[in-house]
Amino acid sequence: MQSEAHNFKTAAKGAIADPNLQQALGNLETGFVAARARAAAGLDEFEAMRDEAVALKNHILANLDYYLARFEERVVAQGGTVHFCATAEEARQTILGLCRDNGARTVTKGKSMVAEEIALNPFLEANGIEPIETDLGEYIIQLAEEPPSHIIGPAVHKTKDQVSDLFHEHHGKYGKTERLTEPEDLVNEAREILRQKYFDADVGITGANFLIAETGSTIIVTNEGNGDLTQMLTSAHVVISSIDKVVPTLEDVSTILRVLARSATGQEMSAYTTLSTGPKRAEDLDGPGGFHVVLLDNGRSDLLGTNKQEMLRCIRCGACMNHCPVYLAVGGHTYGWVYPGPIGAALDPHFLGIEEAHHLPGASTFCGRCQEVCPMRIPLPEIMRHWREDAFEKKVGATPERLGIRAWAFLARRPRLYRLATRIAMRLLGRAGSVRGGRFESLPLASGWTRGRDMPAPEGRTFMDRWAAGER
Amino acid sequence: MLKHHYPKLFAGDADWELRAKDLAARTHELLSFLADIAGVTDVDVTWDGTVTYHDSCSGLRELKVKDQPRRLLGAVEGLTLTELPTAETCCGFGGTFCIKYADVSVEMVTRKAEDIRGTDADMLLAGDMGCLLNMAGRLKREGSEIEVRHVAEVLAGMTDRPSIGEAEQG
Ligand code: SF4
Repeated sequence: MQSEAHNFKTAAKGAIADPNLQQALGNLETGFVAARARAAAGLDEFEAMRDEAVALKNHILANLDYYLARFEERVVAQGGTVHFCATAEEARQTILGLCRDNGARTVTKGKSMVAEEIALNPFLEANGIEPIETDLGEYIIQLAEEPPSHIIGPAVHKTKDQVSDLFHEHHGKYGKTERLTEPEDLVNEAREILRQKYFDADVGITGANFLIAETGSTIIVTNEGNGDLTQMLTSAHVVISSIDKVVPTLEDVSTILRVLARSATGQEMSAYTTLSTGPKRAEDLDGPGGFHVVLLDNGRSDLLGTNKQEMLRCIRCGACMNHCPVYLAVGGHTYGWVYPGPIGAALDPHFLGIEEAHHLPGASTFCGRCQEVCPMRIPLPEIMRHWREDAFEKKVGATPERLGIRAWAFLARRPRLYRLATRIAMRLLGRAGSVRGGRFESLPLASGWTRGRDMPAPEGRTFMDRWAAGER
Repeated sequence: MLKHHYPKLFAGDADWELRAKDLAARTHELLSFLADIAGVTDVDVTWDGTVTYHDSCSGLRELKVKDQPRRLLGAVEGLTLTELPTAETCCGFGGTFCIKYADVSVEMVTRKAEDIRGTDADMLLAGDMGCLLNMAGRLKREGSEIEVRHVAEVLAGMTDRPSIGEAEQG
């Protein structure tokens, strides 16, 4: 998708003023946050499991080439193919080629963030292939022609009433003219319409949460079971995933699965955990005719050995955004690209360049809640701070801000001057404040602050000043 | 900053790393110093009323200050603490964030102020001046009567002094 990350500030303003979005975000906060807290509290060994998952992922990253080679070997042994793709363009072309080989006119798709990353849908459409999203959330935003706003709940920004409107508008052509309002009825209607599409599709594309090196299997976890149908009924199953998803063994993946669902939705396990291993064998009753794994790098391997390597531990659970006060204020679309929230703030600049994406790591209070809940203990604020350093060095961002930082650094290195300057400033502000009732309603250079808050005035004398005067 | 970030910033510098670590070891957040190091249990202060408390992010998540202020406030005679349901949610201050991303910051502190008013407390306490400035600024803008103070003011029996954002009477 075309990045709108540079537009963060304007988008944030619009998002805060959007009552539907705010209502949807409110539900997200109360739902997911409480569920994760219950799940974490309900399992004594949860923290130990996180440690185990972190250690496992660190081991994998240190031996990534080995496990990827193992994985490919096993996929080939089962009759499948692995396509390593360095860039998004390469991945798109590979998938298009596979669709053409199978004479595909329509493809069904399970949810995949990597597919979003390479902007697969518009590309397929431009090439005469109709992609049909089968995950309910993805289906909703496909109808609305919007990108996902959350990595596990693509349509969390929509209220029930908005979904009702969308279905009413788009399902008429299937003879569904009644307006439905109950969530259950809405789901059933979508299910009925999608069911037929599974039979019509020629190729099924899914993502993968994990790739198992030991068996050559790919795994997806869903709560709808749509992934199974997507891949079973087609002439080819194409898995689009990225190189950071490989895990050595099935035993290992169970460790990660246990922290994944708990962190994501507070479930012990997602409803469906689907393993795909190769195409249909002679003795199988059903299954896809071909099995292809398209493995995207897209700059991920460049992160290895850098101060941002830990991002590669991410298992895309979404906990960081569910708990992020900035995300919960502005929603996912405000971030302007595929990955929103803290993970996006730490990852998107890598894909888009810090010039385009500098607002994302900038727009954080470093409150640290993301890191606290991240099952993989990724130091997200620290990585955002590294991006801010990069932005500062590359002179990206507003000039006054950089000058301000320089001015502060100048003073901070000259303690006497610093004390003198603060003493004078505090006196002046204190005097001005005392005649205004102890606070300012507007202040030069601080209109951002005073637009929505008063600025409490200082008392007039600094701590150092009073300490030196013997007041203790 | 001093406790966790300085040692990292100076890591690898033969001279300064040691100094940073030494400083870090000797630096304590006020409330954890009082409760954990100085072992204060009795404060000999009375304050009649209901307070609520905001856990500031760096205090809570970096310095693990959670229980200490509650223990200290528990020793104040007459004081009732009504917990803020979203006590651990960032107030939106965030240093330069509050100016650079003012709209987002104001939205965050507006939600915070709503939760604070929801507790019906007479006074809001916290241990971080940034958060206090932000929350006091918003509450004052909304015309709220809730006093905003640093925990230390209550513990030291200095509540006769003007609260944050208020001027000396007369
Ligand atoms: S950064 Fe952590 S919390 Fe966020 S999606 Fe990735 S694993 Fe989950």
